[in-house]
Amino acid sequence: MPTNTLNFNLPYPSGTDAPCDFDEQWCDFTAAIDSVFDTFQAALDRTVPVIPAAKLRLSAPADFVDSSPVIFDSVVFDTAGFTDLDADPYHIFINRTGRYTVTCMSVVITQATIPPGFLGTWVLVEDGLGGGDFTAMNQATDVGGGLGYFIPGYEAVLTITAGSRLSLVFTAGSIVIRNMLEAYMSVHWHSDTERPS
Amino acid sequence: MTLSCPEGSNYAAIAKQLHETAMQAEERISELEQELRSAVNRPTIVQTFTAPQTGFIDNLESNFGSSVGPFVYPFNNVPGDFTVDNSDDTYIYLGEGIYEIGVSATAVPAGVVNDNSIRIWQIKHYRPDPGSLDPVLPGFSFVDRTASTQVEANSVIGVKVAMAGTFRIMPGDRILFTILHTNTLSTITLSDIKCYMSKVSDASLTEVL
Repeated sequence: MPTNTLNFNLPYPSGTDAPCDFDEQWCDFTAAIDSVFDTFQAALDRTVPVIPAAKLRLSAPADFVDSSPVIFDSVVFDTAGFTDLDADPYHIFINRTGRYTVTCMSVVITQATIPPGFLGTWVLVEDGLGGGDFTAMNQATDVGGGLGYFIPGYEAVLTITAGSRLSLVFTAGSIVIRNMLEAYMSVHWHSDTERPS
Repeated sequence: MTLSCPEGSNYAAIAKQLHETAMQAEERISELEQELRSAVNRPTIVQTFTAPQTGFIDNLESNFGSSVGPFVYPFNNVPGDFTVDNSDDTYIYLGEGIYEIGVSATAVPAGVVNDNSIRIWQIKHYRPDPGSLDPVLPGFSFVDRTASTQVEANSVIGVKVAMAGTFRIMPGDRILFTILHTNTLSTITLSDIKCYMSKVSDASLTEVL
């Protein structure tokens, strides 16, 4: 009667098995090996050559309400169906739980009536269960002037669960309508959440 | 590829079949191993610039990095001498994809400091466009950027930046690092310049969950 290996349950003949059964046992062995290879291949297909990633961009100035999600007008890349700009131009939707890198940028002209002032941006991650997290935060001091203020944000490692959505938020400290010159929000997966063995 | 196995009536070919199974298994294992190595060794270039870059005048967006001064590779797993910035060949060699690119540096006025003057650092992404008259890169059109605005507090140590962004890059595209400042009383010197590039994914394929 065939026995099996410990880790991958690969069958092999025992000393009491009849030689005439060898071909069938061998086919069982190769089928089992194939199944193990398929499992490895499926795991690799999740990581190479494509990973889940998406980036939304605002390329033309648009008004927005301070502290509310910024609107985007283009998809720079989306490898995983994370975006639907027609249905929702504000959010990236995550459909694979994992650890992600999140980046963003807001660009405005001076917002300070009397400089100096505060300019802040971040990505809001809502988990779909009522919870939320602020990430990729950054701020700049508004000292007035005619040049644009570029405020980038970066979060190298953030655990995001499937079903979450991300939006870009900007504030200069008061709830008024402002004009965003340019912006982006980007996310890319880099690992699952299991502990290494 | 699936592994073949013997038919019931062909006992005489057992040795040959075993050999064939072994060869097929080895081929499949080799393919998986190569993919695994690709997954854990993404093309990555890290550059450290070995000398300050000087003479940046006010109110003029100017390139810094590989187009200006010497560097070394603390890490580089891409064959050849490709650079993160100021190179068309880098992304021709590496191909279309999603790249994470970052830069860090320090900016200190070479002489007198303007209090509350501005520093705008940029990682800029350009695409070939022969008819373009872009002031920073003629013959190319601006596509995307990551940028950071800082204010010089006149603290003697200048301002420091560390920023990164993700870009969808096509073969022939070019990345530039630029600085624009409003310190009218003297030029700016850049030091501690480091940059990196890592290809995180292809961009044209649909991801498999």
